[in-house]
Amino acid sequence: MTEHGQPAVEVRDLVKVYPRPGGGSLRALDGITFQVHAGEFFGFLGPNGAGKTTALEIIEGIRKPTSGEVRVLGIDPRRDLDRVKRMIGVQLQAASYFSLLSIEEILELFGSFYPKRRSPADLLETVGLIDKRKAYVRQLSGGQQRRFSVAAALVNDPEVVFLDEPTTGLDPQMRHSVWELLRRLNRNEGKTIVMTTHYMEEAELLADRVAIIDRGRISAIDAPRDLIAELDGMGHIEFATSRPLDTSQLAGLTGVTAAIAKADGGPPGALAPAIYELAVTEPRTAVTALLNWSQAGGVELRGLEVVPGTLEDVFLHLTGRELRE
Amino acid sequence: MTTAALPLFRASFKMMLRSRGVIFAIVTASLYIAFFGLIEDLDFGIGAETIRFFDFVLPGFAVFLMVYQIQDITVAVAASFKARGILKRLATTPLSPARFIGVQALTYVGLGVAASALVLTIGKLVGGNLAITANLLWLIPLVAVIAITSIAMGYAIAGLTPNPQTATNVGGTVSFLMFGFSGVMFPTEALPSVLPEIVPYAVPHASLIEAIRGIALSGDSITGYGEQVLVGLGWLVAAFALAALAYRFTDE
Amino acid sequence: MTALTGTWRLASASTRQLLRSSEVWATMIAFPAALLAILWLFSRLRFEFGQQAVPLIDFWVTGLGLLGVALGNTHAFLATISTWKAGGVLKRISVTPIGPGQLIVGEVIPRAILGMVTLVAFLLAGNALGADIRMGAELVQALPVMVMITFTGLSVAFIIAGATKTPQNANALDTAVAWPLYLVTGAMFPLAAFPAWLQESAQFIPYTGLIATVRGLLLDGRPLTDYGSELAIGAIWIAILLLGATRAYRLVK
Repeated sequence: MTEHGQPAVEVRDLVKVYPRPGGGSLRALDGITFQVHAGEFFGFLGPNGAGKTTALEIIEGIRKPTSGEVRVLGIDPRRDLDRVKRMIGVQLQAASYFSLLSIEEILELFGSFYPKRRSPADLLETVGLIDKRKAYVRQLSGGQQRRFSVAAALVNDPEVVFLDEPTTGLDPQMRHSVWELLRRLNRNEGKTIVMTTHYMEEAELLADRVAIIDRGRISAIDAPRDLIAELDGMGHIEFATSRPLDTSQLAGLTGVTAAIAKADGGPPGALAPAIYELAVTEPRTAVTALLNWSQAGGVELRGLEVVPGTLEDVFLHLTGRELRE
Repeated sequence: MTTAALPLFRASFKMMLRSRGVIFAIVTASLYIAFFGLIEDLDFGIGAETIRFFDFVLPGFAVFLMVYQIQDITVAVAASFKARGILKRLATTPLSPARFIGVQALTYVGLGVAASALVLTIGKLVGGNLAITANLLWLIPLVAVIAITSIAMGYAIAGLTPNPQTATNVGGTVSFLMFGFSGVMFPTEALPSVLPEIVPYAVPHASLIEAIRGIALSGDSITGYGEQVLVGLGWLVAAFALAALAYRFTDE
Repeated sequence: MTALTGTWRLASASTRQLLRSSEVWATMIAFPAALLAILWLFSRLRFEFGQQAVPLIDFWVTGLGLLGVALGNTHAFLATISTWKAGGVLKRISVTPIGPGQLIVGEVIPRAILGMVTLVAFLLAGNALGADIRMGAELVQALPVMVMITFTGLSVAFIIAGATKTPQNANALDTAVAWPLYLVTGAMFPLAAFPAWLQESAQFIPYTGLIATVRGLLLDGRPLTDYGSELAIGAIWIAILLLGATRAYRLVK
C-alpha cells in the first residue's frame, strides 16, 4: 500500500548502455529522472527507438539497468523483484499468449501466479469480452486481443499498471474502445497507469502528465495542456506547392523555428505536390513572412492552413525532430 | 507451493491434450505397432544371425517413437514460445520460468510413460514376445529418463536456432538420425568395425534402449544394466546443461 | 507474348525460387543424404522373409527413398499452392494476361524435373554406396515409372490444397495422409511378409504397384512388360487424381 504522498514510481538518473556490434556503445537511456504519483495517468511520448520500452522493461524488472535508481511503490526491483511483480500489472508491446488455452483459462492460469487475484469472469466483464470467454486468442479481432492483454495485466488487481503502446496497429474504432477502458481503470478504479505511446492524441486525451522522450532523454514533463501552453501561441503552418523548396530558407523566415518537407514533390510540374510544415512561434508574423517570400520567389502556395499547438509541435520544438517517421 | 503448481499442471495438461502433434503421435505409434502385429514372417539377417523383426523392434519402437515425437513437439513448442514472447510475458509475473518449464516437462514425461505403456500393451495383444515380469516396472523410470533427455534436447535445439522454422528442420534431422542409430529400428551389431561398441555411448538414448530391450524381451533385472543406466544419466545431465545454456527467456 | 513464352518465363521464375527455398533443400538434399548415410552404415543388414533375403539398403533405396523424395516433393509443392490459394495469388493472376493454368504448369514443370533429378541422383548415390541396383537399360525403363510416381504426388497436392482452407491445415492433412503410405505401399517393409489379404488390398493403393515395378526392374532385372497390371492401376490413379485435382483446386471462383 502506498503511504500518503509516496510516489507510485520513482526513477533517478536511469542509464542503459548497449555495446554496438561493430564497436562502441549505444546509450538507449541517457540518465532519465521522473516520478509518477499514485492514481496518476502518466504518459511517455516519443518516436520508435526513443527508449520508452527499455525504460518500462527496466522498471518492470525484466531488464537490468547500467546505472540509476528505480523504486516501484517504494521497493527497489533489484532488491525484491518478487514483491514488485506481485503489485504491478504489465502489458508488453508484442507478447502473445498460449494458443491452446481459452482466454478464460489463460486468465485463470495467470491469476494462479499471484497471492491476490481477480476472477476471470470479472476481468472479462471489465474489458467487455465476457461473451468470448471460451474463445482462443487467435479467434479474437485485433482490438479484442489488445483488450484481452489489458485484462491479463489486471489479474492480480495491481496498484500500478504498465502499458507499452497499447493501441499501436489498431483501427480508430478499436483504439477508442481501448481508450475508454483505460480511462475507466484510472478514473473509476483509481489505478496508477504508466503508458508509452507515439500517438500524440492518445497522450493528450488520456494522460494527466506527459514525459517527452527522445533518444534516451526526457526533454520535458508536464500536463499536456501546460506543455502546449508553453508553446506560447506556437503552432504550425501547413501548405502545398507545385515545386520542391529549400527547407533551410523556409526555416530562416521570421517567426519560423523549424521547417519540414512532408512529401517530396519530385520534378517541377509533377502531379504530386510538395507539402511543407513550419513550426512557428508567432503564426501571424510567420504567415506574412511566408506570403512575402513566396511572392518574391514566384512560388505558388496552395491550401495554406494554420494549426494551433499540439503535442507534436511540442515534440518538434523541443527535439527538432518529427514525432512520427 | 504445491497448491500453486496445481493450476499450472492443469493448464499444461489441457494444452498438451489439445495439441495436434500429441494426438498424432499417440495415434501413429499405436497404428505402427498394430500394423507390425500383422507381420507373418520377417527377420533381420546379419551375417549368419537372424533376429525376429517384431520382437526386436517392439520395445524400442513402441516406447521411443513416442519419445522422439516429444522431442519434435518440444522443439516446436519451445521455439514458438521463444519467438512469440510468451516467456517474456511470464517473466513479468512472480512465476519463475524454471518452474514453468519444469511443470511442462513433467506433463510430457507423464504422457511419454503412459503412451509407451499403451503401445506396449497393444504390441503384446497383437502377438509380441514381451516377458511380463515385475522387472517390467523398471521401464517407467527408464522411459522417464529418456523423455526428460528428449525434452532437454528439444529446448537446446530451440535455444540454438533463430526461428521456429529452422528449429523444426534441425530438430527433425536430429530426431531422424537418432532414430536410425539409437538401436530403435536397426540392430547396432550390423554396423561396421568398432561402431557397435561406440554407439551406446555416442548416441543419446542408445544405452537405455539396450537396457529396455533386455528387460522387456528377456525379463532381465535392471542390475545387469548398471553401465547403460549411468550412460543414460550422463546424457540427461549433458542435455540439461546444454539446454540451460542455450535457452534464454528474456534478453537482458 | 505467346502462351509458350509466358509459361517458360513463369517456369524459370519458379525454378529460381525453388533453388532458393530452404524447405526444398531440406526435403530434397538433407533427408535423402541422412537416409543414405544410415543405409550405408547398415549395409550388412538384410530383410529375410519367406525364402527371400534382400539387403536393407537395396530395399529402402528403391522403396522408402523413392517414396520419400516423391512425397517430399509433394509436401513442398503443397506448401506453395496452398499459400497461393490462401493469399489470393490466383485471383490476382486471373486479372493479368497470364492464365492461371499457365502459372500452374509453370510451377509443376520445374518441380517434376527437380523430383526426377533427385530420384535418379538418389538411385545413383545408393548404387555408389553399395546398393545392388542395376543401372543402364533397366534404369532407363524405370524412368517413366518414376515420372508416374512424381505426378501421382503432385496431383494429390492439388486435392489436399483444394480441400483445406489454410496452409497449416493443408500441411496437417498431408502429414496424416502420407505417413501410412510408407507402411502400406511396401516402401519400408516387404509386403510379402504380411498376410495375403493385406498384400492384395495394398495393390489398389497409389504407389504400391509403381514401387514394386521399380524394384522388379532395378533389383531383379525383370522386364517392364511383367508389370502391366501395376502400371495400369498406377495410370488409373493418376487419371482419377488429376480429375479430382481440377475439381478441387478451383482456379477462379
